[in-house]
Amino acid sequence: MKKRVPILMPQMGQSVAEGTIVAWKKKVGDAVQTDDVLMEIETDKTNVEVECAATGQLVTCLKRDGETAAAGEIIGYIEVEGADEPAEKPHAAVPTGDAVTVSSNTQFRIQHELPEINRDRYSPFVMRLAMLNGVTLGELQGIRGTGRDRRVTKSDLLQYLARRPVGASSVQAELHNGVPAAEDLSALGKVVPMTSIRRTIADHMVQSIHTSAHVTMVHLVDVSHLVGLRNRIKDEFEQRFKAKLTYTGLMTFVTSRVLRDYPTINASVAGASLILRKDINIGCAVALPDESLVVPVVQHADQKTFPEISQDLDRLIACARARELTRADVESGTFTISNFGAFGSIIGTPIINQPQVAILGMGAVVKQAVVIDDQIVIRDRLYLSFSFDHRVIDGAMGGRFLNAIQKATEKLDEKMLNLETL
Amino acid sequence: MPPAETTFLEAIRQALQRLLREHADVVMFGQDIGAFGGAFKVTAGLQKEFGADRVFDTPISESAILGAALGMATMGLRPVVEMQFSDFATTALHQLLNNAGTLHYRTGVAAPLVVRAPCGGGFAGGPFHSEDLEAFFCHMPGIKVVYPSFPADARALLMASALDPNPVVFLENKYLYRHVKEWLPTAWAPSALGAARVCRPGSDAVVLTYGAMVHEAIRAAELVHAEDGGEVMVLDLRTLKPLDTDSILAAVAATNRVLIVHEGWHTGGFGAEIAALVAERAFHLLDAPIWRLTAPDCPVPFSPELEKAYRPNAEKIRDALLELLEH
Repeated sequence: MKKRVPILMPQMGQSVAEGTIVAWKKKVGDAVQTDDVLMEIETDKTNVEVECAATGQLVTCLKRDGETAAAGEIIGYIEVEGADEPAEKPHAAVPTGDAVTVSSNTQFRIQHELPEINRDRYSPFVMRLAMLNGVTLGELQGIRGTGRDRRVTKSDLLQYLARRPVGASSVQAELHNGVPAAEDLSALGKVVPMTSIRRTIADHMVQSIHTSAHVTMVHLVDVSHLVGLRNRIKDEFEQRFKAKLTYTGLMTFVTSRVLRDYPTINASVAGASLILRKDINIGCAVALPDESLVVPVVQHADQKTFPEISQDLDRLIACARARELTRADVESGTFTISNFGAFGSIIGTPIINQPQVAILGMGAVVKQAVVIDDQIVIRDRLYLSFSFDHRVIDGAMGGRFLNAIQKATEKLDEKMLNLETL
Repeated sequence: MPPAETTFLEAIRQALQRLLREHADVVMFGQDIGAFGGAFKVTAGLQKEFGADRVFDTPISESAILGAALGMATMGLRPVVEMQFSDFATTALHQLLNNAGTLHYRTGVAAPLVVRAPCGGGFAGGPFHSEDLEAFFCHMPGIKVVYPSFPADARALLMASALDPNPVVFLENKYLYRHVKEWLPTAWAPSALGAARVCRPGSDAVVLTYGAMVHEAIRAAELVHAEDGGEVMVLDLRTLKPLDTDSILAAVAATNRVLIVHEGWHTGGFGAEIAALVAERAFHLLDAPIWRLTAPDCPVPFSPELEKAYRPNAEKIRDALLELLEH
C-alpha cells in the first residue's frame, strides 16, 4: 500500500520563522532515498542542504524554487510503500551541516485532515477586524501568529492594533496597492522574488519608518588628526593586533564612551516605556556581497579598548560575509553606526534600527578648505548624520549628544586609543 | 433550619403537582404513572392526591397515549403525558409529526399538550433506554422542544410548557433526576420558553449545550481555567425550539470561538443546526472553526466502559476546549 509522507520546511534555530527554497535537487517523479539531498534552502541566517527523510518517489512539490515557506509548513509529498514504513507522522526534512541546529519540536499535528492550514489564512473575525481598522494584508502578514501553525488569531491582531503606530495603514496600503496584478508582472520585466533576508530587511525598514518620528541632524567634524594617525600607524596596528584600523572602529570607540553620559540615547522603546539599556552594545551595519545588509554587534563596546573593538569588528565583518554570524552576534544592540561614507556619500539620513532610538551615520572623509585663525587651510573633515526618534529625544538633547561626539572625536589621541606604544 | 436542596426529579414533581392543583383542565397519563408513581417516581403520590380521573395508567402503546392526548387537547383539556423512555416515543412519531404538529395549521385549533420524555444515558441503560432524540423532535414543524438542565429551570419551564397553546416535547435527562440538586426559590418565577442562560461567563470560547452536558461543560470550563487560565463561557440553551438565537449570537460575539456539545448522535444532530446558525449569522465573528463534540454515530452501548467512551463528558470537553483555544 502506498502512503504519502509530507515534507516539512525544517525549523532551523529558534528564531528562524521561515525558509526560502533556493532549488529543489529532485524533480517530481524522481525516486528518492533517505539522506538524498532533496533541496537547498535559505534562511535569513544561512543556506543549507536538506536531506530526504523517507525512501520513495517525490510526487508533489507545493513550493517552487525561490518560494518561501514557514517552518513546519508542508512543501511537498513523498509517496512511500507504506506497509512497513512508520509513515503516519509527517517527516521534517533534515537539514545537513552543523551550522544549524534542528529543533526536535518539528512534530506537526494534522487535525481533521486539513494539513493546508497555514498562517496566510485568516479567520473571518480577523479579516473583519482588520478591515474595520484598515489593516492591510501586508500588515497582517507581518504579525507574529500564536495560533496553530502560527496562524494570526484575534488576540494577535488585537495586540498588534494596540501597538500599531498611527498612520501605518495608509502607507502600507500604498505599498501594496502599487503592485500590479500577478499576471502582468512578467510583461514588465524579469520577476525576481525577494529573498527571505531581503524581505526581513524590507519589513524592518518599513516598520521603523512607521514607528519612529525620524529627525536627522548633521555635524561637520575635523578628523585631520585621525587621518594622520591612521596613515602613520595602520600597518603596524594591523600587524600588532591582527585587525584593521578603520574609521568605523574609531567612531564605535568614541560613541561608546559618549553614550555613557546619554542614557536616553542608549535606550529602546517598549510599548509606552523607555528602557535605558544598562549595556552599551554597538551595531555596525555591514553590506554583504549579495546587496543585503546585516548589523552585527560589538558587545559592551564601552568596556573594550580600541584594539579590542577593532578585532571584534574584523571578526564580525568576516563572519557576516561568510554568513556565519550567530544569533548572539546580531542581537542586543543598543545603538547603531552606519558607515555609508565607504561608498562616497558625505551626508545621509539613516533609518533607526528598532527598537533603538537613534543611529549615527558616517559620511566619507573629505579634504576641505577651511578658515582657521583667518588662514585658509586644508583639513580632513567628516559629516556625521545623526537620526533620532523625536518621540523620545528632542532636538536639544540630540544636538548636545552630537556635539559631544564631535568634541570627543576631535580630541581623540593615541593615548586614549591605547596606541601610544605604536 | 435552611430549606433542603431539591433534586431535578422533585422539581418536576412539584411542577406537575402545582399544575394539577391550579389548573382543572390538566390531566396526566402514561405507563405506570398512577399507583406505581412512574418508572422513575416522578409522579409518585399524584394519583392519590388528585384521583384516577386526572392521573391514570395506560396500555403499553405510545401511539395511543399521544393520540388520546391530542384528542383531549382539541376538546379543551391540557394533557401532560409521559413516554416512559423517550426512546419509545419513536413509535408515536406519526401522532406527533403528522397529527399534533400540523393540527393548528390544518384546522386553526390549538393543541396544548406536553409530552414528558425521560432521555439520555450514562447509567448503562443500553440502546433502548438511553437515547437522546431531541434532533428528531426539533425537526418537526409545529412542536416546541424544551430541554432543561437545572431543577429550578425544569420546574419553571414545565409550568410554561403546560400553559403553552402548542404541543411541547419536554425532555428530562434521566442522569439529572437524582444527580443534580439546588435550592429552589419559594416564589415560582414565571419562565418563558425560548430563553438561554449563561451558566458560566467567559471571553475565550463558548460551549453551546443543553441538558446533562451543561454540567459536564461547566466542569470542563473549570478544568480549563485551572490548567490554562482560559475563560470559557457555558451557555445553557434550555429551549431548543424556539431557539434563543440572540443569546447564541451574543455569546459568539463575546468569545469568537465555539464548541457545541450534545449527548445525541453526530450526523444530523441538533449541534449541526446550531453550527449552521452560527455560520450563517456570525461567520464574521469566528476566530476558529465551529467544533462539535457529540456521541458517535452508533447505538448507545450497553457496556459501561463502552458507554463511557461513547458519551461526551467533562474530560472530553476539556480536551476539545484546550485544542480550540490553541487554534
